[in-house]
Amino acid sequence: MKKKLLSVLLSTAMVAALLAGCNKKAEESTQPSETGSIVPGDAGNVVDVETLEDTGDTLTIYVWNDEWKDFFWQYMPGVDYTKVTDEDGNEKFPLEGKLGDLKVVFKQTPSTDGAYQKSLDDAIKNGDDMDLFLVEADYAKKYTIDGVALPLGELGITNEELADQFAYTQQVVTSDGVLYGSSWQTCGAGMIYNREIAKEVLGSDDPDTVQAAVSDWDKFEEVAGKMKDAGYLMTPRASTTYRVFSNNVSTPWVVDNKINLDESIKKWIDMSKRMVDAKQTKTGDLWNTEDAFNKNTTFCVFGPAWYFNFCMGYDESDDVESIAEKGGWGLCQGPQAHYWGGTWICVGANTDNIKTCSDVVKTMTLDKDVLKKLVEEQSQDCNSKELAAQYANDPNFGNKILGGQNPYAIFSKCIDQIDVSVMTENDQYFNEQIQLAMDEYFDGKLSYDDAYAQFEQKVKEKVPGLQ
Amino acid sequence: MSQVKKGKVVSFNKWGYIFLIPFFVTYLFFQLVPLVTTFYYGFFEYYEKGIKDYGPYFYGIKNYIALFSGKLLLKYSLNTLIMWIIGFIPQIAVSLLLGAWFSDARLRLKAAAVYKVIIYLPNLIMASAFSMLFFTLFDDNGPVNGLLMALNIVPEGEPFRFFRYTLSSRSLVGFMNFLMWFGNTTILLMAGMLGIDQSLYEAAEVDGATPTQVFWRITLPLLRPILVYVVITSLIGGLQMFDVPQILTNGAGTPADSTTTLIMFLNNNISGNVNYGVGGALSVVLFIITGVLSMIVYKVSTQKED
Repeated sequence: MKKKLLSVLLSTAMVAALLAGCNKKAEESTQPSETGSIVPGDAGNVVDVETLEDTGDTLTIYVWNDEWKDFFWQYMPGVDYTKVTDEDGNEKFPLEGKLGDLKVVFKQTPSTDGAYQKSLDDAIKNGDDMDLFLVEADYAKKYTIDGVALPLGELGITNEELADQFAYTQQVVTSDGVLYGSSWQTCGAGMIYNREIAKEVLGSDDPDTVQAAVSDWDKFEEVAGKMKDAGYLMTPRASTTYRVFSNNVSTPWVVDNKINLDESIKKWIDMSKRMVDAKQTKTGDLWNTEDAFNKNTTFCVFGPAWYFNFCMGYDESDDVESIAEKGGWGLCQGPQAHYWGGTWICVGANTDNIKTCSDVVKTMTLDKDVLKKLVEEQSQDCNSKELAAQYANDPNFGNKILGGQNPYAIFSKCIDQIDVSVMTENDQYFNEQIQLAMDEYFDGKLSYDDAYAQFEQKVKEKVPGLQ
Repeated sequence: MSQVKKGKVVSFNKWGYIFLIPFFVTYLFFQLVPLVTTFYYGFFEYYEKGIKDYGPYFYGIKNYIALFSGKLLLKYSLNTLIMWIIGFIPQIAVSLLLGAWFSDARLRLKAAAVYKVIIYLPNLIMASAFSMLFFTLFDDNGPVNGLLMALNIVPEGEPFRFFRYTLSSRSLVGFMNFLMWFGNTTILLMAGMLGIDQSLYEAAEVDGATPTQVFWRITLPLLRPILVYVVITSLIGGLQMFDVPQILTNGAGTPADSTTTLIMFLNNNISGNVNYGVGGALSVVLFIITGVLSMIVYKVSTQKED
């Protein structure tokens, strides 16, 4: 009898434990304050900040890399965290910490192969806690829509507060005339060249002289020939120039549900093939080019302000002294104006910490003091017309990496020429796959037709339903 | 009297069933339901469009027609098969040799247990971590190229680009699979060899057979059932090849799509905007192939008892 009782007890406990897992968290379904219909305009209907309230205890933030996470811990007032040590023994900012009484959790997924988008999709579909999430220009259109993100007006952010932002940064995250995100940075980009090599081959490292030498793509290729003769690469990778061409397209990737290859991309393919064949550049991974940043091997790269500190090895703790640390780079506009990337902060539509989210968006993207720190300490290019003009005209403001040159004038000029009207929500897949496929064409592994067929096939796998 | 006994048996059975519940519930929700839905959606046009879904609209067997009329299924099957063979040939050869040594009592190997553990170790590393390691080792700027340059095998500044050539990429994948699995195969074959009657070996020795003759005439024929089992299970494992080439090529199957395996093909259809229809159809095809292979294993292993 006792045995029987025991077995009944055990099995009940077991089945109960099994069922416990099915108890879904269903109680938290707090709605953000109702605001009524949104008037087409910038921020939409603006609610009073005072009425916003937090109800959750965790602030969940979706990111794909460390960049903004590190800014958050450094510049958001009221944060509390302990640095962690990574496998190489370097100190890093953590993925978890506190902001006031709230627990802060960063959910990090790399963006390669659409993995980050997948993490957002899953969170949105499952209704997971997603208070803040970051998006890139390549797929911003997909997430800055009603029901996924909150219009800035619902966070109590007014049009006046947003007036100082650059128009293109708002255009990217506008849907039906309403703003769904905000960015602290602009990503006007230029040609970053190695000063020593410029002196040796072009006779001068003055930005105007260099600019004159590369003012269009024919001249650019001409210089590439000179660089080759002098024993240098023009660019580290064929894909280094990709963004310049892809930003200057006049048609979108998809027209009438068919894949469309813009003339500008075709031009990139032709030029890159010639340059690879002439050994003026190399094929391979764009992100694996330390050689160009540490040794005098390569004449130029293309990039925006974030490229300086994030990629070019401006890292004083490193044992290799990079060219950036010596201030050995110069900046000019290059053959065509372009921008690269940009990160926007959006607030999830079902956030349970709307007050804090509003605070974070305001502090991290609109607060002039934070923006100044981002410019001065992190080489960011800030999203404020007023500050940008101020920096552009400040003779004392120079960038250490650029040997004291002031990048603002060049970047600002770039920003004015940026046109983001032909973006599609799947641009990331097109941009990734065309570079991958064409790299094999440049390498001679595939004929152009085969490479293009491979690109088409891979894109269709990523974006079903294309013709 | 007999009635009481019967009653007891029944009540014991009841407990047995209750304790089986966790397995069946887990199986039902995490295996059977997804399995059935996979079959089901294979017949639909159903995919993600942005964060919304398109479909499901009934599509008949059009997903299957598209799969079989396209060249990709065949191409990726061949890729998978070739990389499996590259890994399996050394795997079975080395395993047979090691198995023969370990199971041969006359060799009096010292510390055999230590070696058995060591050869099994690579299998304990996560395949993705192992793959990442090779990715770094054979990178253009990696230590292998550093070594090749230091030994003047390749010119300074012009590394051998392992991941740019079909043969070297496929060989690396095969080599990694070999390293990860030969220990496991050795253990299996050794178990088979230890099951062979020792008196046969003794008789052969008395008759003056050489070790080579013993291996080919006695060990191998008697090992056949377990050998078939090893080949087929390895083939099933090979069909599922995914993490190694996926990580080694960053999901791109480079060069020229020559290292894309069937499961990577599946993954391409369900990463990005998920295509439930095509993904389902492809899974069903893989399911059938694996099912047929499993049936062969079952046939072979039951034949042994006759």
